[in-house]
Amino acid sequence: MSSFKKVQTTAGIICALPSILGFFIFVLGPAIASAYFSFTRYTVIEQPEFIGLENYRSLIFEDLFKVSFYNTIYLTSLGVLSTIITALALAILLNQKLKGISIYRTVFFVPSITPLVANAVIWTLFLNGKYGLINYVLSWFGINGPAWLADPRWAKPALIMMGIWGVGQSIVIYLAGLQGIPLEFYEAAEVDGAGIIARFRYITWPLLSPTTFFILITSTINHFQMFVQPYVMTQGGPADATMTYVYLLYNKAFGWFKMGEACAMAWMLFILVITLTMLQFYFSKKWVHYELF
Amino acid sequence: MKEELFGDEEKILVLILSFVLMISYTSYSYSKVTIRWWGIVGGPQGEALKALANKYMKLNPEITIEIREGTLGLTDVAAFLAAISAKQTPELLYWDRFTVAEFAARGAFMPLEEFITSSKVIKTKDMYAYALKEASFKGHIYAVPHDAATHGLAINMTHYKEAGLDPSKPPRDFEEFIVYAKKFTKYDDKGNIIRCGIEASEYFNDPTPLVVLMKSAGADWVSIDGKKCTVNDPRIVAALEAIVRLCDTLGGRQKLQDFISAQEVMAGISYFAAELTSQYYRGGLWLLAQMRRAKPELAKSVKVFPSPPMPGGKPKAFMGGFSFVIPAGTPLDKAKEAFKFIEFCMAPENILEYEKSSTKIIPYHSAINLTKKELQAKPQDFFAPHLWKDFLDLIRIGTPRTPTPFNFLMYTELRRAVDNATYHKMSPKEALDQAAAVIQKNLDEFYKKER
Repeated sequence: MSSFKKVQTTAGIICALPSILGFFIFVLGPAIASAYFSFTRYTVIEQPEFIGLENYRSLIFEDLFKVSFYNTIYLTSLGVLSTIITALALAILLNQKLKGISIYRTVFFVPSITPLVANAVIWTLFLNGKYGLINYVLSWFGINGPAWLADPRWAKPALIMMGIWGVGQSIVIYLAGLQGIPLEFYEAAEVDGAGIIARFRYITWPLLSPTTFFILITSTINHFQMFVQPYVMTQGGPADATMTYVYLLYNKAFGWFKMGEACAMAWMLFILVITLTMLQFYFSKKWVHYELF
Repeated sequence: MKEELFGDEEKILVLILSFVLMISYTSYSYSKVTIRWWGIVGGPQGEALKALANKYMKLNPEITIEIREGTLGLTDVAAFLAAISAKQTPELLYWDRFTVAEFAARGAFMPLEEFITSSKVIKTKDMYAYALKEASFKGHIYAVPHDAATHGLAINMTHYKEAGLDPSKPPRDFEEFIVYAKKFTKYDDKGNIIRCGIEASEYFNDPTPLVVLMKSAGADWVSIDGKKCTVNDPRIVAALEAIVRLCDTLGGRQKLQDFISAQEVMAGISYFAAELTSQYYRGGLWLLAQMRRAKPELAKSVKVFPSPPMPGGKPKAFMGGFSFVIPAGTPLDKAKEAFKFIEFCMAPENILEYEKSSTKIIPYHSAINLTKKELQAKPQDFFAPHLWKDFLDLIRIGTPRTPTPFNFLMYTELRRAVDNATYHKMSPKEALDQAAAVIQKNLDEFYKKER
């Protein structure tokens, strides 16, 4: 190796060292520690006591764990679906050549960069059954809106609705995808007599499939980690309707002296998310098309 | 010859200056003692605590008190747990007495008997029994009670008169309380509550009204030895049934919850202090601070009585409050310094100042006598002196929440039980059976480990 190469390598290692050390100290180290704690009875205050798989076993039989798991699956499945549909629809609208389109794009993007806590506070007011904006708008159509966050039946849909407000990032990604589709494809389809629906079905949707796949994966992971909304807006209520998996994990770790169980929950979530992601990758072969790009 | 940048005199001057700086820094750092004090709450109480710290530092320039805000005991314990794992705990904590036992049971706090025994200011005999009980676990004292807020039924006398009721005759028991609550509640043409007969939030955000009813019925959430969870005792089930009846009578949980959620726009002021509710089942002394801030004139038409008990029961006054706590592992010299500051806060000359600005009381016999005398001699120094008198009268029926190793979990589970019962997802019995099962499992694990 030449001396210049050696200097370059050393410089590269020195520059990367803070990041590498950070990863080992703040990511890998705690991850390994949490894996160990998941097999212990650990309150943080006392020394951990090894109990094997007991935390995992007791979680599986715990009612509140089941409730939080159901809530999270509900919020993730409908939340991801609504994110994709809304983001795609809005991206198609924002892809039109209109005067002032950049202003519209900014308007839709701004909520996604607003801090989630601020969003949560605003939405608590929007969703108020009596004075809230949502029910006020519904009343124009003669609809007596529900109590949203106060009603166990409507609390989860309310959180999903709130999630749609923050689809700005996904819109931007879809916009980039849409602008990467060659116009010739649409022109050729029009010549062949394809209508709007056919063009969407046979050109837009397949060519956007890598983008949709990316949004599907990131959005699924984000929804599985939902915490701020129940923490700020509902504290898991009403009647456990918004007790999400990560909010329960937090309560166990910092409220109920069950750091061991919380670590077990974290690892179960990790395994679940990685399995789902692998499944998504596996099935993506059937509907994601990269070859045209 | 190469000319030197600095001459010999300049070099000597730099050396002397460096030496002086080093010496002064070393002597400064040796003379300064820092007490890190965590858990300073917000609002008037927090301001009063900060004033005590500032006064102490002025009188003792060698002491620095570093304050970290955030309520410890019920929320914000994550920071304290992180400090424990990093072995970087502060020297002093301001802790909600309600959860002292569960942290003490796990060895997080230092027993304080030795300090208290040798103190000339703080005496266990002087403490009110309820405060001492909450500060103790298994025969050891882990906290020095500092303040308390007595709670009772606060009523709006104007609303009483409007409803044709005599404000000097509050409801005798909870069943009558429900009847009264219905009379005060007003609805708009869509059936939404626009004025509520109760401070609805207090029933759902925490289960304290259920606990007060439980105590009034002579029940408790654990057996005397603390090993059996008894939240599904028939007397507690009856208390939860009464709360469900209250909810249903006023239009159901969802309507009440809607009424509550509008509170978000009112910046920490209860509906009672804004004259939108007529009765506050466990209105505390802190109501005075709220009224002083929001509607000072309202205080004239407010009266406080003992919270109505379950039929056939005896009224009990809920007494919450904060304490001083020294974390386990604090070096003895630092712990001594921290305890000196605690003694300073409990000195008679600082008690009244704290009470008046925080609208909290100090739960010691000597302190209460002092307050009563001051109230008689200088009523103009107190906001709403008639209400101070009412609240002080409630101390005689004060009751603690029994310390267990799982008080926080207990509250979480009771809150869930209230939710499940008032939303009619479960019967009160089923909801409390579920809570009892969860708590019992934890108690069994805890005592099994202890054996």
